[in-house]
Parts: sequence; structure tokens; C-alpha cells
Amino acid sequence: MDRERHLGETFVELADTLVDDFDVIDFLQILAVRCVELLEVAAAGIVLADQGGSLRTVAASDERARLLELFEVQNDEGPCRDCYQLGAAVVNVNLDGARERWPQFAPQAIARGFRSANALPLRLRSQVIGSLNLFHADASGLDSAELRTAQALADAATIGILQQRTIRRGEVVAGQLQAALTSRIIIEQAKGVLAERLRISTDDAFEVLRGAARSRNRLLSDLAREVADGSADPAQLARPPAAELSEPG
Amino acid sequence: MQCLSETVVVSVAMAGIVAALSRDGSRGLAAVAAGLCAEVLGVSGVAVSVLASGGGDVVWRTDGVSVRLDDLQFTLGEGPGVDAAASGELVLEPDLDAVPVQRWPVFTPAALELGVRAVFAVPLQIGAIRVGVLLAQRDAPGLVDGGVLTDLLVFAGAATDALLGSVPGDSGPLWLSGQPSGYRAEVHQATGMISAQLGVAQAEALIRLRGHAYSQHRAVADVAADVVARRMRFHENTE
Repeated sequence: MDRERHLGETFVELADTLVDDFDVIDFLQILAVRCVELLEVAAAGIVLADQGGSLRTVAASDERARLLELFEVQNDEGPCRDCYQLGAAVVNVNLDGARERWPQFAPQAIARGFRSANALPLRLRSQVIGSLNLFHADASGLDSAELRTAQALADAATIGILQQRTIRRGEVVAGQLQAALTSRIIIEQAKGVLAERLRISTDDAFEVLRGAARSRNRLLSDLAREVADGSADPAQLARPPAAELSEPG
Repeated sequence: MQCLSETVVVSVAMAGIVAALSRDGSRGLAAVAAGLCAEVLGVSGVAVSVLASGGGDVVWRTDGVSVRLDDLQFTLGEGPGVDAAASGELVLEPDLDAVPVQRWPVFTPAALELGVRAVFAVPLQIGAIRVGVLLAQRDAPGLVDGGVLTDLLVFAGAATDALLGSVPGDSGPLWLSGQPSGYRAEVHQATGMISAQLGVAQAEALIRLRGHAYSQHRAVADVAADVVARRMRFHENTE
């Protein structure tokens, strides 16, 4: 499908999620996947600043640890940290030439097959709440049209997190951010429980959790909380829901 | 694109309070005077209650109104702290007069009568681990703006840590956020794994994880990495 149509459909899809039963982490994860498709980047991730100013990973196009770690390390240095502190986009930075700028981050990103990096600010008026990180694995970069699309997607992420266009009060923003960060931690705790109980990797545990939420039409965060606090049975989640229907007779 | 970022950082005074909490880990919240904390936050009073079955239990607070507010919520089963504890979300009401009556039909007029004009409740939690609630109030209406809100949330994090029983010598709240760049999510994953290994709640799993790291003189993140990579498991008698 051509890019304009794909873009339009993506925004319709995103708008559809901003209604009842909205799950912010699920939304951001879908958004990250759409970034990869629309912008033809190799990977995308979203980080949010917590109350202490640390950057926390909340979602990525690929939820495997190997990629998530790359976003985590950017708390100290990297395109996301620069973007957050400057409040401005970091665009088409060639990683090989960035070894002095980001001595820890650049080699790690290169080791994962990436060649250039971008970070777009998640902004609410004059405040930056986080960053959308995009990696290219090839020699291409973002052209100006793609850059505008990328910022629009970052803005969509901000709207999703804050769920209101006309927020004036800082405390409402803080509440929404705290909720998103807490949701992500619960998902990590749930991954641990599933990994242990089902004898699988934490990466696979995320897939089980998300698959179970979708097939049961449950919010990802609700199911994660039940797994974390022990009220959901991991063995049940690994089975398709049809298996839970009562046997005939 | 203009550089307009307002990065709000914790105040020096609050950083000092947080440092005191972590220095004196064995005393929990008693290492800090509630009155001093209230002053730094610019609020009239502050209280921390732990969640126990059957309701909250105040463990640390400024005198006077804070005690009365807690009694009120406990008796009525309604109020900002009750909501924060139940939902796990911030409850920030800068003007109690403007709160619709049906939200807290009995609490609100009673609190106003005590001279309370603004309430701020912060759940004390790490993901699914809910340990308590921090409640602050003001005798005049007003927003908690960027700087105070940051201090409030940072203090809430430190208080959560203190309630979980930070181990002496552990670098307090920094045990999580101050880890060298590494995969912090592994700490939460390890918590989940340990809770399943031991058949205990997440809170206890986290306490065991930190206790083990301390006794082995290792960083919590390193032990967590071992757990997630299945290089170690927790048993009944893992110390």
C-alpha cells in the first residue's frame, strides 16, 4: 500500500484506540511498530522521563531484551538523552562518527546492526516528556517529509499518553506519566512471573501476555497486573481461550 | 525547532531528605522529620500510611490535621488517600472547594472544616507492589507546580523504598535509579521470577532480591541479571 494511505490508516487506527478501554503501553507498542513500517527504519522505541529525570523505556517495535537494552542505556548518553535535554530533534546521526559523542551508546548500537539514529521529542507545549527513538540499519536517513511524519507520530504518542489536547495543569500530566511508567513496570513483573511459571524467556513471556490479552479482549495492563499479583493462572494464559470453554456434555 | 525544554530537577532540600532516608536505612521513615518534609514541600502537613488488610495504617506524619484526615478517611472509607490506594493513581486536588460533592460526599465538607483546602495523594508503589499512600494537604488552595510536584514524587519514591525496608549500606532509592546504565527492567522481571520461585508476593520477592544482593555485596541489577538469565534461582533458604 502506498505510504500516504498507510499513514492515513495508521492515524485512524491510532485515533480508534483513544477511546474507552485504552491501554497506553499497548498503544505505544503499536505506534512503535507503525513507525518502523511508515518510516522504513529498522527499529523504534519510546522513552519517558520519570520524576527524577531518568529516561524509562515504555515501548518498542521489538520487545526483545536485546533492543530494549539499547533504549535503557540512553539514560546516561545517546540520542534520547540529547533530545530530552535540548528539547529538540536529533536527526540522522551517523553512529560510526558518534563514538566520541556517545562513547558507551554508539558501539552498542553499531553492534546491533544500526548505522544511524534519530530522536524526536515528545512535547507538550514547552515541556518535553520523553523521546521517540528511531534507528536505521542501512545508509538511508530520514528525509524532510519523513521527519515531519516522525514528529507527527511522536505527537500522536504524546496525545496517547496524555489523552487530552487541552491539558493545562501540570499535575494531570504528572498523573498520566506516572500511570504509564507504572504500567510498564507491572508488565515487566508479569513477564518475570510468566517466564518462571511457563519456563520460557522473558521475551517470549511478553508475547504470551500480549497474545493472551488480545485473544481474551482484555487490556494488556489489566492482565499484567493479574499475573503479577497472582490472580491469573499463567498455565491458562498460555492456552488459546477456546480451551477454557466448558467441554460438551 | 526551538530548544524549549524545561527539565525540572529535585530541589536541594529534598535531595537532602532523600539522602537522609538512604543513609539511615534501618530507621525507615523515622530518619526524617515529617515537619521538615512538609516545610520543604510547602504543604501544611504530610502523612504516610501503609496498606494493610482492612485499611490503612499511618506510620509517619506531622501532628494535628494529618492525623485527623487519616481518621476521617479510615472511618468514612472515602477520600483522596483511599482513592489513590485503590487506583494506584495520583490524586491531586488543588482546590477542595471545587471538587464535585459526589466525589467524597462526607470527606470533603469535613476536611474543609478542618481548614484543609488542597489535598495531594500519591500511591507508594513499584509496579504491582503497593505498599502505601503519601498524603499531603495545604490550608490554602493552590497547584503543586513543577518543582514541588517533582519533590513530592521523588519523596514518594524514597518513602516507598523506606517502607520496603532498605538495607543498611544499600544506596537507598539509588539502588534502582542509580544503577550504571544497564537493563533496569531486569530488576522487575527478576522480582516476578522470584515471586513465582518462592510462591510469595512481589513485595516480599523484591525484599529478598535486595537482601541477597546486600549480603553478597553485589549490585541488585547484577543479581537480577543472574536470575533472569537463569544463572541462579531463589530457594526457601536463599539469603
